[in-house]
Amino acid sequence: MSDVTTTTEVALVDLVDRLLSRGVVLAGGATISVAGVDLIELRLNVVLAAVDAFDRSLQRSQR
Amino acid sequence: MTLRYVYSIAPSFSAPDIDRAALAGIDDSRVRAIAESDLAAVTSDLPEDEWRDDVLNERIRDLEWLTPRAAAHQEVNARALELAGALIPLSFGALYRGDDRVREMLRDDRDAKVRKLDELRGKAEWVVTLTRDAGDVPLMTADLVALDREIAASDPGRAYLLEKRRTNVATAAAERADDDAARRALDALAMVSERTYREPVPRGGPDVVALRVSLLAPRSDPSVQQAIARITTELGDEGYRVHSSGPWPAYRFGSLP
Repeated sequence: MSDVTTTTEVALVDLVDRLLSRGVVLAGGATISVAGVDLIELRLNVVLAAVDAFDRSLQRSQR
Repeated sequence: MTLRYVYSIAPSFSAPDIDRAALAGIDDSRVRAIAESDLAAVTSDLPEDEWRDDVLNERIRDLEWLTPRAAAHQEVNARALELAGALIPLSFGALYRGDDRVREMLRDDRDAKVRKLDELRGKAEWVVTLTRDAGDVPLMTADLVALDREIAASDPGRAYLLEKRRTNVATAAAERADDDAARRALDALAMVSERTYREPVPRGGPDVVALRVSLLAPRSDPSVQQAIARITTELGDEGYRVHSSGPWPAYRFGSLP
């Protein structure tokens, strides 16, 4: 059993937040890059949605 | 035609172990190491017609498409970290046209990459978020209590003006409380971290995000979880919620200078 997070243990939002938060990397002729701006928006939308969902699940668990 | 998808950079001595482990990567592609001097890239081959930039730019917005692939990316890095002991994890979507291009990337700024691997050995990162409901004023300050009393005792015209003032006072009080809560959380986390990085926060949602912070600490150090538990209790009493995730491979700190 690893002591490093595996994906079964984490929410999608945390995963996307870690993997995309700098935008997709590495520009230049050798690599393919993905536009950073869209990804930053994606990240922020996902974070907001998830914080919201997280609160709802928290409220449910407290009932 | 295929492209090389790079998950992370590891020390090259771990390349045979990574190859032997025959890990399954994105879309069940076979993971292999591409070594160059003392560094190795953890890679797999993906079809160019599905992963070239215009296709990827479209697909990456689709969370249903992204989710299993992001999960596979992280899964490979979690296993590679176990095998290699140190890892510079890359963000999702680093693609190269061939092995030579990957080797070129490894050669580029090689000393800095080797130093970074040393720095990250045995470490992991966590991310901690501190939020509250946008409608809540975390602490009822004395001036708000006084204003409420005055409003209750006033005629409608004056009460209306006082209400407006109350909103301003409440907003300022909430911002002060958020700054204070963020500072205390950051102080508590900095005590157990080697590095912290304050993340940008989203604004205008149903929640106020007072703090988002990434922290780097020894991977199996229980003091990180203890510190998170402490601020969860302490700030929970004041109306804040603490959400944390980790330990992760060092996605944030691997990409910081």
